Amino acid sequence: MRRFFIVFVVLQLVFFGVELLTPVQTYVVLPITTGIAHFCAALVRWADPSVSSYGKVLMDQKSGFGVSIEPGCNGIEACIVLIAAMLAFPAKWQHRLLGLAIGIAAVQAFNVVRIISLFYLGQWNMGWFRFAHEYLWQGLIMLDVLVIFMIWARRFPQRAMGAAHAG
Amino acid sequence: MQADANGAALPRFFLKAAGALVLVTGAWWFVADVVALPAAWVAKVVAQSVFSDLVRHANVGKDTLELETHMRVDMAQMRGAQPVPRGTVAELVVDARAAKYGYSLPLLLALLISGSRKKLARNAALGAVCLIPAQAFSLLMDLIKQAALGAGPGVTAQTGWGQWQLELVGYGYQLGVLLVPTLTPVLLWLWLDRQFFAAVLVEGWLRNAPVQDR
Repeated sequence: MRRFFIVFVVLQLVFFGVELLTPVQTYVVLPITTGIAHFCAALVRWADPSVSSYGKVLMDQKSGFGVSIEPGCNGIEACIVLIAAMLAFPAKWQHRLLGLAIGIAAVQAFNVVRIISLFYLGQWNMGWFRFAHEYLWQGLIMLDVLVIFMIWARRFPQRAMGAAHAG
Repeated sequence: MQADANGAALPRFFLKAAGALVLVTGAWWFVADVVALPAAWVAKVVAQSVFSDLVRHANVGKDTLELETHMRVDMAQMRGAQPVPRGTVAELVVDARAAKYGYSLPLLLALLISGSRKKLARNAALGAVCLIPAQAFSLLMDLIKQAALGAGPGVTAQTGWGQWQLELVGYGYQLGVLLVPTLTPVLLWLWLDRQFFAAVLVEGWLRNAPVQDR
């Protein structure tokens, strides 16, 4: 458990630092964030044709209300936490890769729910938007990461059991 | 809550924790400014001792932490400022709501309530105390970033800090805003409720292990 914590924290700090590098922001984070905004707009247009996206902004043409998907709201930091946790935990590489693919998809799916819910919450009431955006959803996303990690760690036992027996 | 044999433990845990988080965050909102004061005091002490070359004085108000800095701002160059006579300078003062990063507490409480609940009051109290340095770090990095990087290149130059130090401030700020408030309570919960965590994992391992391994 101690080894897991140490490796996890070190990986977390390294990955987070890499994510902040300008080239990574320009060529990885921004395109992903723009893609998330496009995906959210495409999803919402099924029910609300007045919604569109410009870059990383999700916007309602009728009301003029828009939300810009900023760092912390694109789910990338949550994915970094999940990646660091899965790499730090004793498991076979094929299990790790499978867990990462499904886990990242699950985190991003939950994050899409966050963005769309905030988009409509903001049009309804800015006070509730701020509360949900700045406090509530932050915790919910990390809770999502925790549960995805625990589901994955329960699912693939071999190396983890060996590590547990080894103390 | 016990780790059960039918695999429903985790979905139930998630739903309980999510529900608890909504309720506890709602309740915390009303007392957030008060429970954030210890973190503000810690941040104040650190600001005045570690960043004394930058911070002249720090004040903990009713709900804010305010840093009065040694740095001067040329008011004529400030965007959006009222027209002032040329050469007018002002002291740079930055502030932030003390409870801005205090939402780590409701997350920890929601996890503790939804976990084993063993020694709940003791773990909640211990966890709340352990969160104070993390909350203080986030608050302090927010203010230092505002002072060193948020008031224009003229003010940044007054810090006398090198590029790597400014990069470190930027990194610390991002860490304090994006990761520390949500990750710290989860790590604390894993430590405080480690028996529950281990029980959930081991139950899953035993259920998924090949028959010959059992």
